[in-house]
Amino acid sequence: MSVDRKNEKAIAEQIKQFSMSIAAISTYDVSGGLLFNTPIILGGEKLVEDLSLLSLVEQGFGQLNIVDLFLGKDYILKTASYFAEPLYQFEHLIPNLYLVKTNYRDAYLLGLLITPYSDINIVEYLKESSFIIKSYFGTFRRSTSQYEAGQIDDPTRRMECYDTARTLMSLLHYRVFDIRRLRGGSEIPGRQSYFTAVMILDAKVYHSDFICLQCGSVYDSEPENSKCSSCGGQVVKAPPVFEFENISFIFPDVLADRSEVKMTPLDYLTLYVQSEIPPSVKLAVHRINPFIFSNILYIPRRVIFEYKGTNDVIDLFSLWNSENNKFRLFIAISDSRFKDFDLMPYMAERVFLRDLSEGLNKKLSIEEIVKKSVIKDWNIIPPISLSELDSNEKYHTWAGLRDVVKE
Amino acid sequence: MLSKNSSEFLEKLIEELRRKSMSLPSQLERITRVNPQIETLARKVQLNFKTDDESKKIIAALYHLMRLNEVIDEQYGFEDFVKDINILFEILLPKSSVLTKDTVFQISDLYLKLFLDSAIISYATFIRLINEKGKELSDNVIKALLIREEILDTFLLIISSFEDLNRDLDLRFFVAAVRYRFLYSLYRMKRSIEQRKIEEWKRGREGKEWLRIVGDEPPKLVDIELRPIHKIYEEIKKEYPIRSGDDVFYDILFFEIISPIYDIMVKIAADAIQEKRKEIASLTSSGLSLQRQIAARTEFKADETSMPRMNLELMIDSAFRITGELTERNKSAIRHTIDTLLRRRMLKLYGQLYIPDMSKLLDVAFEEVYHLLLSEPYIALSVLSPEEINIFMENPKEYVKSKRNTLWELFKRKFRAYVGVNISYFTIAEALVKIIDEALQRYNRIFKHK
Repeated sequence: MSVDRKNEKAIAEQIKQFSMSIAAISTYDVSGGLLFNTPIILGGEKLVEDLSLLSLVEQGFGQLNIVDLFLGKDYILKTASYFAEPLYQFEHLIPNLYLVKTNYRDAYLLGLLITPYSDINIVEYLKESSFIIKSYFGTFRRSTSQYEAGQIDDPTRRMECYDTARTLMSLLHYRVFDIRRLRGGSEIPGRQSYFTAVMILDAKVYHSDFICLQCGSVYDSEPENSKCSSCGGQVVKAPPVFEFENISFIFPDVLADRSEVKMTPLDYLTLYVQSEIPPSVKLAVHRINPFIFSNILYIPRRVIFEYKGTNDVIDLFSLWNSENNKFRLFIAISDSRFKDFDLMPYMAERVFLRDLSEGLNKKLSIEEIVKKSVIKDWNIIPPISLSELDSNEKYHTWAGLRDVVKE
Repeated sequence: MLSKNSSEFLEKLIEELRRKSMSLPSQLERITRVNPQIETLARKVQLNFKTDDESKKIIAALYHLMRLNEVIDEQYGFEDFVKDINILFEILLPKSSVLTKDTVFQISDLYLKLFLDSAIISYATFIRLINEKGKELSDNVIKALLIREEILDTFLLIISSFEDLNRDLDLRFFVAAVRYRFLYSLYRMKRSIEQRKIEEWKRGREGKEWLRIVGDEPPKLVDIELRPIHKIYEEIKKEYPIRSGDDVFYDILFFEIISPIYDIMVKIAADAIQEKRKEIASLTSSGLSLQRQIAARTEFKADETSMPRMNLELMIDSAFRITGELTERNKSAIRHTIDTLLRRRMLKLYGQLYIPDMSKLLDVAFEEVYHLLLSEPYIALSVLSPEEINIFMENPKEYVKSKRNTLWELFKRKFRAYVGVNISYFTIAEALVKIIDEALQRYNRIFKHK
């Protein structure tokens, strides 16, 4: 048996060493009257080169305001995967990012998996993370009750909460990286959603900023001695970001015809921008290994938002192609609130995405691809610049957008 | 003993338990009919609820059924049982309710199911512990894993089955019942392992009477105290202040079920864990030892396998050098010969045709392939990549001699692809025929085109 198995094991081992599980748990402690964060960082032996930075990473996650992260107008990001697009030829494995935010009453968890695996099931990941924060809250409730009855002291109480979270995080790490749970499988969130629209974004990569690892100040050119002028911390190259140029949409008539549609074209753009990794989280991740993370562009692959206070979801799935630092992103959107709109279910979106990726490989134009796909009767809007989308009122409604085509 | 037959044992057990849980009311009624002592027992039933004699009989019959089928241990007292039932009713029903026969049936059914489900997960948990304890995991993570993957889902089902009667349950009673059943399962396992050990010990002592003088005691694994559920419940109530809420499921299972029994499980499973550790250690080192075996193997030795081997070489030689093809008849002959060859080799190596780890058969099969390669190196054509073929063609014989480890890997991969998970003499023979045929096709393409 063995040589094969050994090789396989060696690869798995290598992947594991390039993988990290991070969780930051935030609870409101009634007896102490304050909010406190518990960061837990596991794995990543090969990813972390400078151990002294690890305490900075911990600090970064400890300082996050988790409660307000990803809060949109009336929706909130639950879980997302980000695929790595390296701007530099690395000799080793490139980690992707998976992110969740979940809460149980007033205990919040921000979870991050950094791993070269590209098949982490984000719906399962969300489910497990929800289990962790719920169990953490259970231990918190029990130990607080024991503390109030004078059975245990305050440090013991905190230790027990931390132990529950750390044990469960270690278990999750073990399940993902050793016994291969939470990988692949069906990724359908609780509620059926409907294929609503496709958004196409043209973007170029902007990669010339510098950032202070200590305080996060951004510089547009490298300061003297790479020292931050405000805090004296080390300044490194900042991670690359997208600069969006043009936008276009493909959408069905029903979006323009029905007045109860609450999502405008601009809302979808906002949603996509919101799905990017927040700067504070990016900074914390950057500290893990400034060299690696300053050369990787993370693009949202799949993002699931939840409408506040309901089980409704918006599900974004994106594909992209690139040429000379210019990216074209295709974002398929499905939304569970559009139930009575006679739209195709979420599975049709997957069918379209498959056609799209095949078509792009064959270098077909968007029109050609759409014409042969399940959305052949949808409206295709030619690209408009972002500033135009913002300033021209006729682009603020689906009906207005559709008129552009008709003109 | 535990690790090898454990899954089979578990399946049987589950089946037996399922059978026992069928149509409870009729079973209980039959028990009442055929056992006159049920009436006497029923008279001793004291409940904190208004009820009729019929309901009392059902409770007495349930006790009888559970004892008879070893759902609870043989020492479990009837009074203790009634105390448990009283607590259960108090948790599930409003204080002033009148117990009817139907309610008692319904609750009895759920209660019995709780024990059967707990029994099943207790064995599954035990076996999982053996598998995980051999790896380098902290005890806390193992405990969490057992909860998450073996216990939690069933526990949720148990709780939700009772929640139909009352939304606000005192979890601690159910935890006590599950803990009891875990301990009882462990008690039974311990008893049978201990008995086996004692017999071994006795055999070892035969004719050595002097051992008694030096104080040689029979082996003992661990002490397990089986206490009635209501007592466990009282104890948990003192320790664990929270009575309900689905957020505490993990916490309560961790502190009140897994933690109290973990050390007991580890002690009972000690031998099996040791075995598992060795298995894991040997897996990591077997790569090296196999390479050493191959390197150490000397020249072809005549034995009972030499005749089929020569036949095989002849057949393959004629296909490559003379006919240029494998007819269906050749193929079937090759298949047959390989089958015979492998069987003989396996018998010689392991003394039996079917060993638990049939993947060893692949190793044997490769050794045979290697023999064939020494006489007919062109068989390697079926596994080599185009670049490798160029190197190979310069000196096929030398290539085979110098690169046996590489070839070994390549053939192994090929075998895996052709054989899949179903490793048998037939599938391997079939795969080898395909490999030889493929090599022949490539050989023809290279040489006939010239």
